[in-house]
Amino acid sequence: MKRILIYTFLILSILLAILTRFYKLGEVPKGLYLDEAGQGYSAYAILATGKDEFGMPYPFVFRSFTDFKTPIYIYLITPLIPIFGLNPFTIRFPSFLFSILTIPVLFYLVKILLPKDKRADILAVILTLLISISPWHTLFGRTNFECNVALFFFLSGLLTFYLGLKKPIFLILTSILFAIAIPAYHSQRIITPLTLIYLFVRFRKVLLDKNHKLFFIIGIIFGSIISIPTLLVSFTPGFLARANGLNIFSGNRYLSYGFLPNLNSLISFIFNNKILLVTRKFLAMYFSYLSPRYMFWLGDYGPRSSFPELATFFVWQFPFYIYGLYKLIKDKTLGELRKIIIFMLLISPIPGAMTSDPYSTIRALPLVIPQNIIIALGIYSIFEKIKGKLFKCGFLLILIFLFIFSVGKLYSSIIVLNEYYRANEWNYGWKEVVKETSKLDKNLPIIIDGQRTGPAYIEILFFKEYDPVKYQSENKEISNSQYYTNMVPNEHKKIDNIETRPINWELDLPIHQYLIGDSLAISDQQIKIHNLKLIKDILYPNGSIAFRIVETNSF
Amino acid sequence: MIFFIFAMWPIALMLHNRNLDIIKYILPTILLLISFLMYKKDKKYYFLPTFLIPFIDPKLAILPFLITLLGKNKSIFILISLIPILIFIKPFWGQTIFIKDYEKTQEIIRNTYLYPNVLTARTYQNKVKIVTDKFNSNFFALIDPNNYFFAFHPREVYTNNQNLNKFPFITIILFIIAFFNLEKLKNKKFILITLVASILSLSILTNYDRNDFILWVPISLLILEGYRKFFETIPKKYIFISKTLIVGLSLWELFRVFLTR
Repeated sequence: MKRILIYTFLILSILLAILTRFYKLGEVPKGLYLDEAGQGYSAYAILATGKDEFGMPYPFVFRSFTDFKTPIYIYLITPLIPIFGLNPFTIRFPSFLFSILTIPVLFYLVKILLPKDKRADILAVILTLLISISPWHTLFGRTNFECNVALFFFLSGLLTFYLGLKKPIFLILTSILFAIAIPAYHSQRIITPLTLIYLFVRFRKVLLDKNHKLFFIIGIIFGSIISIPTLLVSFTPGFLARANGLNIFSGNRYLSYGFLPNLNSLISFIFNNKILLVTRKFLAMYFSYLSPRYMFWLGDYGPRSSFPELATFFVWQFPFYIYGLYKLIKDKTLGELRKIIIFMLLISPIPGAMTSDPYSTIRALPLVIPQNIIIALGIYSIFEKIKGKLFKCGFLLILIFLFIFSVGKLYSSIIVLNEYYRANEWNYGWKEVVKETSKLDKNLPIIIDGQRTGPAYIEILFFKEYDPVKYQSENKEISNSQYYTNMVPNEHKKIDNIETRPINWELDLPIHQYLIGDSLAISDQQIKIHNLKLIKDILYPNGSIAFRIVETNSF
Repeated sequence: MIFFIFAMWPIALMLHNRNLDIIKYILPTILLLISFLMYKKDKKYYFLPTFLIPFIDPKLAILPFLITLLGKNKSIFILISLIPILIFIKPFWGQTIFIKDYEKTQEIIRNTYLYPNVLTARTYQNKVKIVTDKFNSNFFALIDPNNYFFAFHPREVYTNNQNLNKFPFITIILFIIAFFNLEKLKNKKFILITLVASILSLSILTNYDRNDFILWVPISLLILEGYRKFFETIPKKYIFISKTLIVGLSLWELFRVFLTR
């Protein structure tokens, strides 16, 4: 295939990816999820004071809601705030940017893994086109998820490693990129070290020869220096909080999948054996990531890590996946590409399989790459098998139609259905709440009940663009020495006249104040019984009540 | 020894259903097994016993037709296999995904109002989607390895499905080995024909649960082939430990089936 045509298709893929990810970026999904708001405000606080909202200067992992968020994404948002302001667009922009940058990286990775092979160009082009419309990759390219940024650094590390085999200086860059990938997202703490071991074992002779040795050692030194901050906090409760809370190995045996209750102790010892139960659970989780049912039909069950009526791949890609898988096993001429796909296919589900969430697309995001390469391989191989120009043209026309249909399907799921059905999952309504509170009497207290929405204070801070210095001084939670070790959050927050806590009808009714909550916290019946004055109902796009603002004791 | 691997599904089915119902699910499988034995003895018309399946359960009326069609048999047999469909057309049709679904239709109509124009609404929300969605849901559940080796875990089917433990989880390795050696399988033709025909005929049903026991034959054959291939490949010194592990874990799961009842 002519060089110009190849690069035209690469540009086309990038433009298509921009279209699917940039259209209404920041507006869709409507609302801003708590984690997004948390990361945004931490970045805002770092920019303004050099400390996060808890007063910790430049943390290595961010305390946030004591879930200790990875730092890279937050530091990427920080320089964007002076340019775009503090809003959902800014918070989601790094995700968008790195998902676009992943496309050329993938293109060159395929080309370098299939050197001097005429298939390389076409495979790379098909792959980039598939990634540009991939529901899985698009979702994380439109929303604030660190896994997408981590994937970019991981793939770039992989690309520079293979470049480094020819030009050793690239090995220094490899170590820097891999060292950034590890703290960029939790699952990379497993994926990247395993990949490094694999690459070292496979290419140890090259890496340790006289041309590469020096750069290899310099690379290790650079990588180690970058990893020092992560290593310093790696054994603190904060750093381990995520892993301990989610992994299936530390869980209670009585809650394990397949646990049989009411057995006597000896029988229970045999048939509820923890090692066997956990092994079975791990394998069930692991194989679910490779199962067509999850890939092409069910997708992720999480309402924020999926879109309605859309799995992680399109149904039409299924036959290509099966044929591509067959080709991958049989065709040994695919060389290094074949090896790296199989390796990634095998290791990518591990972090997800270790946690109790079924088919977590966030944790298994690296899997999107080998599975899309397999589909690309399937498409290419079937095209090659077709004989006759007319049939080849027909096949291409069908593919073009399927691509157009898929872009429309993305529009249908992301823009139309997600907005209607899942606005509540994206914490829609807080922006409007903040807007409305600014119109209320400033002398009266405001109580916000966020029991069902999680820590509401962060949404208020975010949309109010609240002064971090003021917040840090008014809401002291822990000292800096306890930042990574104290796991008890402060549930009550005060932001000017706003207090976030559950409504206590007995104590709150006699006071003249505003109450804000969802329709369960403040129902029609409560408004009637307690003689409350309804100030405003904030509605979801589907017309149901997101929040209602009422005034107590106003008559 | 192999008994422990393959006994799980029939035992689980028997323990979770009434005796009278079981006959309806087991007889078609026995007919398929007879068909396999005939195939093994190179009988030309090995598929003929499957013609009786619709008379046991009209839900599976299309199965003999698909088996004869995929087996590239003579046109006369394909025509004969259509007879049960014609006889049982009413009870068969009533249990397929093609019957009207009022609730889904309403959902589709409701969704069409969300789109900015008629073209996109009609493209992505239409009545064909109701049928294709149901087909895809069944089809992908039936080809899901987690269905057979982990009782659908981690995403069990909560409506109209018993989520039975079908095969010991350790045998998924043997299944994968067989899958990647499809070309070299001894009974490749029979396995592939019955597997594809069964999956397709079950995918068009509103509820395939328990009728999917028909798949016990081709999947067991696949595992068996994987078992053979596995022990042909591994070094002799690992054979004893591997067999102990497979039998031990199969027994463990088999006893758990009795305890789960």
